[in-house]
Amino acid sequence: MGTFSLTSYTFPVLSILILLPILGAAILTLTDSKTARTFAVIAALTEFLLSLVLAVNFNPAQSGMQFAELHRWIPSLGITYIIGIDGLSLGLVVLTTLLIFLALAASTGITKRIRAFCALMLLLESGVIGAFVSLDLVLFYLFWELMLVPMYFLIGVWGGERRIYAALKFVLFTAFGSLLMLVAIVYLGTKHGVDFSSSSFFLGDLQHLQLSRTEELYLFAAFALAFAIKVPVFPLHTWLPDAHTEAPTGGSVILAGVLLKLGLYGLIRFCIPLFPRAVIETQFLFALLGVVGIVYGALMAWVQTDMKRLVAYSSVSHLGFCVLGYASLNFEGLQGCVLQMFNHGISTGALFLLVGVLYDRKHTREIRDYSGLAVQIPIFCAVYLAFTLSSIALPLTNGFIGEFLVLYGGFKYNVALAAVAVSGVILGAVYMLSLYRRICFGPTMQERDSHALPDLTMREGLVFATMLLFVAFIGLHPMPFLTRQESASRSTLATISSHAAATYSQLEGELPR
Amino acid sequence: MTTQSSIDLPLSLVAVLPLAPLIGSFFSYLSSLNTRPCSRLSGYVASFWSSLAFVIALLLLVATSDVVSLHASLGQWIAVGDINVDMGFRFDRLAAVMSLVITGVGTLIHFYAIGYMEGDEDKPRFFAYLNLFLFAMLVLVLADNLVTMFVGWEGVGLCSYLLIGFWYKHMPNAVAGQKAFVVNRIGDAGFLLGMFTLLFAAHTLSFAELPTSLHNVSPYVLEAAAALLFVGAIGKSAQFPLYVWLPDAMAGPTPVSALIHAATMVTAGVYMIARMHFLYDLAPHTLAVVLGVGTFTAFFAATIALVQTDIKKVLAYSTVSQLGFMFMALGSGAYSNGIFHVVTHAFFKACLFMCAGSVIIGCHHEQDMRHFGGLWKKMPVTFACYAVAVLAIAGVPMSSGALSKDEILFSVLSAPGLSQEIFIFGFTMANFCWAIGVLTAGLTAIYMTRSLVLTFFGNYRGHAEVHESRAIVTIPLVILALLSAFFGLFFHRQFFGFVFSWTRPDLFRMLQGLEERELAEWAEEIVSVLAVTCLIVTGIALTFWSRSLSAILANLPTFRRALENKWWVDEIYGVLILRPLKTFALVLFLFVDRIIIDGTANGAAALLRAGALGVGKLHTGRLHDYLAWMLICAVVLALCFLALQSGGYGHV
Repeated sequence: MGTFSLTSYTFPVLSILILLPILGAAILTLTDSKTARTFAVIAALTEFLLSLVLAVNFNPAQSGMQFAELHRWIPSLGITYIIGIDGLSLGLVVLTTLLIFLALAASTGITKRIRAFCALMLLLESGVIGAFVSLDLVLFYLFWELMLVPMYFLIGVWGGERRIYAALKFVLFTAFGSLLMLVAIVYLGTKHGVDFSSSSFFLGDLQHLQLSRTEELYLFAAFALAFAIKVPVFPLHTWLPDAHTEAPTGGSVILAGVLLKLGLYGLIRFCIPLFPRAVIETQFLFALLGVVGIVYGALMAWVQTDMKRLVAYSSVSHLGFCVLGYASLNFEGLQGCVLQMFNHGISTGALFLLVGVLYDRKHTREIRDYSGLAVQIPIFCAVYLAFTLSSIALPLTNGFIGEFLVLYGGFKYNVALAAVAVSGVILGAVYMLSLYRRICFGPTMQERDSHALPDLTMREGLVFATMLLFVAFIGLHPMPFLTRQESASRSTLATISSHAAATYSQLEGELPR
Repeated sequence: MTTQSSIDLPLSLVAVLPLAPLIGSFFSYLSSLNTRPCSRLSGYVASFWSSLAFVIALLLLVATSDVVSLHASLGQWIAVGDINVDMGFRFDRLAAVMSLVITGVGTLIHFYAIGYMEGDEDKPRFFAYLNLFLFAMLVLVLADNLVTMFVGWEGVGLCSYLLIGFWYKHMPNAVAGQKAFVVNRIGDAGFLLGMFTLLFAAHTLSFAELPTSLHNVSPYVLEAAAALLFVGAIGKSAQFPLYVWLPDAMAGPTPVSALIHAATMVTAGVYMIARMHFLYDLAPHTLAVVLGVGTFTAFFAATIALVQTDIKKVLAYSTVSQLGFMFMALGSGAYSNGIFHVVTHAFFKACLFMCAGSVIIGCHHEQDMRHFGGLWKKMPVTFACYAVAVLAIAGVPMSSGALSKDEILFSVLSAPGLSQEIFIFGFTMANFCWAIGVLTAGLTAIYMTRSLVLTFFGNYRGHAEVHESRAIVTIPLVILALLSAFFGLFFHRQFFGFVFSWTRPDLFRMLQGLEERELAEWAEEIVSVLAVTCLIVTGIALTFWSRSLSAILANLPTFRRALENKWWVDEIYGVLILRPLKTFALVLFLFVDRIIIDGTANGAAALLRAGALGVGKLHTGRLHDYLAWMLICAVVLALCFLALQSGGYGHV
């Protein structure tokens, strides 16, 4: 069974990553609304650069947690402030800081209560990063719930017409799942107290618990439900189209780009080491639901008339690929899953921003209100095409590397499921290119109001250029990303295989000779 | 046999070869964002980079004349578990042939396009895409492993998508582009699964390592991998049942049809199977399927071409048919013959398309042959080139097309392996496919002559002022016409001798040189050639003098309608696949997603809310209500307590 090795660092960089946005949000309340956005963008940029420093100093060769920090917090309950980062969370942290920075930079469409908007985005960033680096389950749960609050307000205040409904639905769905998870967390901590005479919520400690099969399945179910809602796994996805569509652009970017990843992150980080037996037993179920999600999400996306809703359903399909990668429980699949989480954050984040660009200009998300944009705003359409291609996984874009690995991982696990999953490659082209064709090609719309549609501004151009850099870099040279993930994927799988080996030898012993 | 070379210059040239057009594409794209003078130059800039690629390919050919293959790697690309893929290139005889055709014909078409696209304000974008296509196609043929090949494979698909829909303001063009991409993606899905199968079984996808690592793989797995890769070829090379995108692809500008949809991209499937010949040699059943699909497609598309009235549509179905011939060669194990036909077809089909383009601009964007006629006087150069290319594609003896087609038909007749053991209507599959092939050759002669007659002979039926095209358009035509006529004659044996070295001699009897053949084989080949020639000459003569085709078809109205409606294949796909799928998606969305799934969630919430409201009603604020509830609850609790005391619920 894999144990956690913690490597600490003289400089508490992770704590600073968590606290910096909170500090920024606090200072924001003192600024006036004119400078608020600029200040927030600078704060988010600092945060992003800090996370890049982290990524550069990250040692790919070393397994276990790096930059770890350990502080006593509530010793009587066994709760510790313990954080650290490995290949699994590194990419997601960088993705978070990048997307928050870009979403803030591109948030010119937000005009009301700009200070509050920026402050909430920064608070959200703290919550998400906290969740990604927490190794204590109570701490994780705290951050997990913490980020619900800003998201609730982001949707509810700055959202579209049905924002209240969408915000409530989002919070209720998430809270429903996470309450059961809290019960399971408490159970685990208490059991540790009973078995080892001191309760602990540290993941590394809880791994050593001896759980009966029934216990393990129930506890796994409680965790997996919370995570599956977040991913979302079919058929728990129904909050997603509403939340994504009603949220303001920046909210959708973070929701799709980062928050969904917490579900898969949780499955890999917590469920695999804590409940390996249950993970193996539910492997086929998850693989199947992943594949159903791929096809179902694609078919749903195909028939949408609202472009934001279309992109939202495409997330269901893309996350289906990630679920398949997780459920294949092999090295290729897991590496693909982790990389594809990053890729999806970039490409879908960009697609939401692009829809936002159009919405800011014409105030409609209906596909039929657009036509022939390639003549009017050629640069927008070129950028949009690039992200469309990344989304449909054309080789030399980031999407191809992730999908190729995931599909091969799935193929190794179950050929039939992979064969169905590959149809997602076809359907992806169908709905993404249909959308592109209907918006960008065809006769140019006669503008009812005389002012023409302006092309991308310099600020928007810079935002998309940054994201395209990642699209091309990962597509051409994915190894810096893949090698950083490698040791985390290996040690995660080691828990599974050592468990499978144990079960196997147990079976061997039981077999009559 | 040397597989590695220590020469430094060609090694870096191999990597530069595909990059040259990529650089050109970048410059052209930049100029599309810029002002007018740049945009006028863009055609010449693009042609320069394309010519440069041709020169590099020639240099490489000369420099590598004594080595079998040359490898160049841009470094490790993906390495995860079983997957270990380099961004690697390989220049060998097969790649040499393909890259010379691509850059050679490609350069001619670039120059031609300068004239053809004159006056189009989007010219820089056009040349950017055209150069980008050359890059992707060169990556495809130079790749030293399947994944890198897939980069080019999907890359050419993207360029095809962009160029078919080049005039995107007209929605049907954009729809045709999308159709091409999506249908190709169906093939690509097969290609992906084929790669996974090989990767899983052989743990490598490199062309250098695969042949040796396939020996321990079970024959079923090999058949599966070969069949799945063939699905990719069916999509890319427009074979039945995935050919439907190619006729629609004619919506693109004519140089695009000539370069992408005739000479190069559509032959990628043929190239891929030739490249993977070591796999197909081990998969005889799949090879028989390849032969069957090729034969059927060749015949089927030729029948449709008989009655088309749009000159580009005739050429499109003819391309599908000729590609079928190439797959017949592959299916008979005569991979070199297939590649030889790729080369000759590139010459005469590009020539035909470019002549058609010359006619189209001459007649002010008219494509319907019913509005042509008598053009030979007004466009003599175009006419001469078209006529030469028609004779070549029809297979008039000694032309390039005749030599390559005769070789194919003979190789089908004498194919080794399974096709001699399968019987169709009492004939061996080899004989049956040969007969269909000969018949198709006859049909080819008929429909091509028909297009020649309708366009250039008789009286002019249009209204536009017709003029011959400029020299920049006609010079490439003349070059290609000369190649169509004489390439086969002069280079036939050199070609096979040249390509010979990349294949194994024992499997490629055709390549052993004509001298070594047995007498019986000679007799067989003579019969084969004679049969084809007779049919072709009769076909040409009939069409030319009696125009009997329409008379025959007039007596068969149902048959004629079926042909004119292209056997209703697009309609059948619409009814059987596309519309049911879309309806299914819509029903799934409206019923399952909105009502069942979302309804359950909202329903649960509503139920909870109703329950909460109901409980809320108990809070009346009146003291005696509360007292009553207290009493009731106390009694219930007391009863429960008693029940538990007395040992169980059952006694209450």
